[in-house]
Amino acid sequence: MSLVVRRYAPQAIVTIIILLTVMFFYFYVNPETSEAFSRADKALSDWVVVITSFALIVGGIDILRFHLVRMRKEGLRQAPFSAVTISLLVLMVLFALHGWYLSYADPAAGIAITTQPQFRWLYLNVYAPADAAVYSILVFYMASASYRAFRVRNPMALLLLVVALIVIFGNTTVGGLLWPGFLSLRDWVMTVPNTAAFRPITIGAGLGIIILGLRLLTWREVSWMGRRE
Amino acid sequence: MSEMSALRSLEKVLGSKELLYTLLLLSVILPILHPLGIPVEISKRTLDVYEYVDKKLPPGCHVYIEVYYEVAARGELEPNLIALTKHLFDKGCKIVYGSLSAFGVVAFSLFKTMAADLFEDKVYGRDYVYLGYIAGSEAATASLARSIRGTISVDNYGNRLEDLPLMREVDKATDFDLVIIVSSGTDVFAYYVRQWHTPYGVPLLFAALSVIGPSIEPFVGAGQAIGMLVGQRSAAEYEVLVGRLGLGIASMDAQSTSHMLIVAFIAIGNAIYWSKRVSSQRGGSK
Amino acid sequence: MKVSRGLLIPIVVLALTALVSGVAWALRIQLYSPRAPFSAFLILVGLLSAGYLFMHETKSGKEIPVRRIPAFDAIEEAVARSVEMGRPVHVTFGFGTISSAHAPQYVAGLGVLSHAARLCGKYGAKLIATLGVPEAIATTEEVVREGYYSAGRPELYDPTYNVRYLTDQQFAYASAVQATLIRENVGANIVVGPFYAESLIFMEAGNMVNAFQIAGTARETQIPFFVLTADYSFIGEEVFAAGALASGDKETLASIRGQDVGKLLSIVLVILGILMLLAGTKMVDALNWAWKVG
Repeated sequence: MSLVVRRYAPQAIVTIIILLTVMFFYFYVNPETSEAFSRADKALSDWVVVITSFALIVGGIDILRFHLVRMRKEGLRQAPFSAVTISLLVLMVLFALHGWYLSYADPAAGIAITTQPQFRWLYLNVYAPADAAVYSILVFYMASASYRAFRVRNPMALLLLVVALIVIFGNTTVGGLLWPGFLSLRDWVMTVPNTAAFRPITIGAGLGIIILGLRLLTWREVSWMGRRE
Repeated sequence: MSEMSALRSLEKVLGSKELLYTLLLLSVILPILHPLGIPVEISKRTLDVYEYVDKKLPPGCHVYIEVYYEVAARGELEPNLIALTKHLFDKGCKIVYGSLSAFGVVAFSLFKTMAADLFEDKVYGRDYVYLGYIAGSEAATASLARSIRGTISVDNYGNRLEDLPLMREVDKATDFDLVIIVSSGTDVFAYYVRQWHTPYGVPLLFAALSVIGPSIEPFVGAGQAIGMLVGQRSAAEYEVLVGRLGLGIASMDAQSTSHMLIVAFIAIGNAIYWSKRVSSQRGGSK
Repeated sequence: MKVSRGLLIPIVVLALTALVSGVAWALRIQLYSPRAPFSAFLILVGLLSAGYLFMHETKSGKEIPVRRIPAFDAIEEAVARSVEMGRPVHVTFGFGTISSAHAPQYVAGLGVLSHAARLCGKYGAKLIATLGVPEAIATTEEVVREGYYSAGRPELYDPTYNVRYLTDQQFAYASAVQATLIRENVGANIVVGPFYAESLIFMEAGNMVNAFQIAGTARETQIPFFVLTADYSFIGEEVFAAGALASGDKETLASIRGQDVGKLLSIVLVILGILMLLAGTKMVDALNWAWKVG
């Protein structure tokens, strides 16, 4: 029984959905069928949004469990970090409840979780700068990575460096001062060799996806269910 | 021998992350505080986009703009969005904004605050509409292309779409003369190519981050998009073209100095690498 | 000669497709959806049939050679090295979910995780799997548990240590992974799945602790970062082969051959397309005649 529930049923459901999706995508029966199919398609995506939202609750509990266990095991060394995480987590839940209450009190305001001013303040003044800061770490990492990566070890590395320099100079205003041709050279690099390199990767990835789909359809790829055999 | 150890200590100093990071930080901050004012040359691809919007779009046209970026990508994408909006409003175009992501709502409100001058004489509902967050990613994109009113019933602010004059003029993909996708992700561009361009032939225009640029280039090459604006550089160029200088041009100097610093470090790294290689070869023969 | 059932299926599918299209064309019935190009359908069916044929051939005992992927073989080395150094192994598959457009890469990432978990069980390494998507918590726990149990080391499995859901916000996730890599001082950093701007952050953090790095993604924008910074990398479609390689099953492996046939077909189509364009016709139009006549 458990084999049926844990293995055959999910695989059968996935197979049927894949086959139906492909069929209705390629074949045309009549306008009503295609309309019904797109409604079903939209409904499936809506389910995803609902399931993801519930999974977030599981995620919250998981984070809480992780930090409580860590605090018990490692004591004071871990406590300050865990305390910050847990208090922010609780704060988020409180905001959600407050927003829920607001929309209950005034149904015309709609779902007020993200529109309440306190939440917006927190989002714009705490979350947004932190988010942007981590993103901008990339600048530093890109610099240190290129310091290491652009060493001319062999002729191919030299080619890589030359192309990188063209794009760097083309992207900056200084490049234009040095030689006006950098800009059009950069555009050429981006439209011709770059596209030539990107297209095969896209095509290859597409082929890989099709074959992975074949393995799913023939019930040979089972890792997505969390088990192998 | 001493030559080698001198090289090693030099490499240690120059190769230290702390030095590189500090210099980089300064090279980004200083030019923003004290602009160098290096002139910006207009590249052909930005000019092509400008000419398209200027010449091919009829006055009073309808444009759909997808706002799909989080606050982290604001620096690169917002200047593009502002410059494009300015150009479209100058031509008397009407704009419908929408977001396939929840963070697009915050991005839009920040954009409106930053470009308040553009919206001053515009009436909400008649000249522009913001649909807000539309859930359902690609399926929602397909559904919007068939009918906006069939997909959602209210806009971001809770107004019913039937009550907005602009939404009575436009409903499906073919009602729009141009669709602009301002996105920090790669997937959204493909959604619009698959769901709006391929079936309905709507012209698309991309505005992307510099890192994303190379991966959406094939769409432009294949004629599935009329052009693209990539990163700060394009934003700066477009700002010059529409005559509203903003953050795009202000950050160009910072981009130039930081890039030059990286070039300098690449050169130093190579110089050390080669001198070490040469001296170790010499050392090997002793 | 007796034609076996497995071989018959693709032939029947192709013949039926041809027959139905022919009849529809003769009767002027619109059969194919105008939204989906017929050429795409042909390629899909053709490739699925080719892959299926290869899988079927192995069933009858034929050996089909499959090329090795260095990055995949390096996973064992990475795990073994970490054990020697007494450092944990970190694995993440990024923001893939089973519901997004990157579901195939998520499945591939799970394949790699499952392989790494087995190896960690075999060598007795500590595994840390970090997650950015809450939907995948249960699956990941199951995969890691299965890895340790199947290697006969159930005592090493500790869900709170091994599987860590961090957050679903991109850069918060990136900084949390970065912190995990440095504080836990990982010996190996295996990063395979769909990645966005956080890819370089992971690689540089791994580099700071001198971890052995294996990375892979089919997202074109991030491939350059991985190729430049990782010790071994899966490039593009190699990611999808990882799951099959991990299974070690001959029949599953044979399907990868279908991928290579697809590549060959693409090269032929590109050359043909260029020739046809020189002759003045677009190949797409020629391939898509089926739904145009409807």
